[in-house]
Order: sequence, then structure tokens, then C-alpha cells
Amino acid sequence: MKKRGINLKNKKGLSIIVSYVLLIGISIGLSIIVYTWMKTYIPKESLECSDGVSLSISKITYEAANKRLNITFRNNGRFSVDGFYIRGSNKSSELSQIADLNLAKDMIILNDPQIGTIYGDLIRFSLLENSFNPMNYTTRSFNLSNYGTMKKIEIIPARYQVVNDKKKLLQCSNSKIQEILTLNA
Amino acid sequence: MNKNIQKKGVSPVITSVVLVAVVIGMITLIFFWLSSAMVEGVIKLDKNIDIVCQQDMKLDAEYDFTTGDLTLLNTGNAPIFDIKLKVYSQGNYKTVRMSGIVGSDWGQGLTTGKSLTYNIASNLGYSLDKVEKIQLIPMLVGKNNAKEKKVVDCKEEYSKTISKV
Repeated sequence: MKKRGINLKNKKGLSIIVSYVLLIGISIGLSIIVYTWMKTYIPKESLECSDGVSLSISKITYEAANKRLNITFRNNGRFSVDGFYIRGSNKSSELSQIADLNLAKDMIILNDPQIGTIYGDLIRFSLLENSFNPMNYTTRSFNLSNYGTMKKIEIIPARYQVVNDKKKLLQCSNSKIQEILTLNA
Repeated sequence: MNKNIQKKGVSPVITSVVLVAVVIGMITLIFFWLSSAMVEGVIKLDKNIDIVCQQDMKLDAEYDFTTGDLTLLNTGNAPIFDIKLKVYSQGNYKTVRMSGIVGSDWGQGLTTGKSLTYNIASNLGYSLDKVEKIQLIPMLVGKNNAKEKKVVDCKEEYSKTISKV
């Protein structure tokens, strides 16, 4: 009877180890599943440009005779800029209303470095990344003869930026420029 | 009497096997039952698509209730694949999709920085003067765990509503 009791104790000891192994195994398995599922919900850095990105218009002329728009940009921010989105409106000069006409395709190529810099709705300052450096000036011209009289334009800078270890082209909506146009003689 | 005790000694093994089998069976059943009800995790820009809707998707829109012109502008950094329009009139609403209205000109959707003006008057399902409100629900494309493309509606709290003044 004593011998039998010892045997039973030994068997119970083994089952406790198995139960611990199972318990820990299941816990680890569940933790991995929950972590994999939940990690996508952890907020990451949002796709926004740095605060110091800023473009300004140092000179703008809208020629009445040929409806040509000339804009001289200045990078008055702390970071270099890659390009910009430009849109206009020939309906309303109210700044609160959306300017819906994409003017990128109307850019006039003034010199060789500007060739190939139009990417759909985006105009890049050159083929190199973030080439427009702080304190620099550059001019772009647009032929707006197809739109009647343009009332206002909106310009949104864009720059390549590393976000979550990946380089991305971001539009900097927080640095939007709006300008009401008046025709120059 | 002793023989009976020995026979009972086998039953704990059988009960353990049966217990484990029943538990595994139940877990399998519950998993398949719940998996159909669970929302599938869809990833875009390395994060859950709900967070992209909240952080990175920015949609500007204007609607002219007299002409039916809808102007859209993507000012965020997430491309918008499609937009679901909920058109409200006299307590009811109808749902239409921008890709269905615009057709092939919709292309890849409202990509970053893209703007679009389109007259949707004939596609609203109600006469122009009866429309009281339009709700625009952006739809984004992401990938699920199996790396398949999935179209997901952003939650209504990230939608844009334009009401008749």
C-alpha cells in the first residue's frame, strides 16, 4: 500500500509539470496572437510635414494680355522643399472655398532644369529630392489662358520626409499659401 | 472489489483525452463562429486603417445645392480609393459611390493633392431641391493578414457632412 502510494505521488508530480507547461505555452501563444493583432492599433507617427516647412510668394504677376501667371517663390522655412501643388479657382475669390483647378499641367517650361519636373498634380523644383533650400528664390510661370480670369490660387508645399523609417513624399497642408489674383496691365 | 478499483484506474486517462478533445472541439467551433463576426484587421501605411482614417486622411468637399456640383479635394497624405455618398431627403437616404458616378475618369481615386469637380445632380436618386444633406464617407484600400487588397469604409466620425443652409 505504501509502495502504491509513492507511485501515485510520482504520477501526480508529472501531471503538474505537464499542466504548467501547457499553461505557460497557451499563455505565450495567446500573448503572441493578441500582440500581433493589437500592435497595428498602436498610434504611429502621422504623415505630416515638420512644423518649419514654409514657402512664401515674394513676387506675383498676372498679365492681363496673355493671362500668364508668374510666381517667384522664396523658401522662408527651416527645411528644404521638393515641390508644390498649385490649384486655382476662376469662380470665387473667397479664400474659404476650394480652388479646384489643377494648374500643374499649365506650367511653362522656362529652362532645361524644369523639364520633367511635372508629376501629375505635383510640380517639383528639380529632379533632385528636396532641392529648394531655405533662403533661396525661384520663379515658375503658368499659361492660364484656358480658364478665363483666374480669381485666386492655392499652393501647398511638398517634401520628402522620413516617417516611421520610410521616406515618403508628403504634402504640407498646414503650410498652404492662398493668394487672390488681380490682373496687371 | 479490488478488480473494480483497477478498472476505474484506466478511466482518468480516457476522461482526460475526452476532456481535451471536447475542449479543442469547442474552441474550434467558437473560433469559426466568432471569426465571421470579428472585424478583419486591415493595414495601410504600416498601421491599422482606422488610424489612417483618423490621422492621415483629410478630405475637403463643397456641394452646391442649386446646381448639384460637388467639389472634392484630398489635402491629406493618404490616397482615397473611393467615396460613398449618403444622400438624405425627407428622413430617408440613398447611397451612391463616386467611382460609379464619375466612371473611368475616377481612375485611381482621389490621390494625394488631387481635386475634382463633378455634377452629381442626375445621380442622387432625388430631385435636386429635395436633397437636404450629403454625407461623404471616404473609402481606403489596405491589405489584410493574407496580403489581399481590401476596401474599407472610414468610420462615420471621419466622414464629412454637407447640409443645406
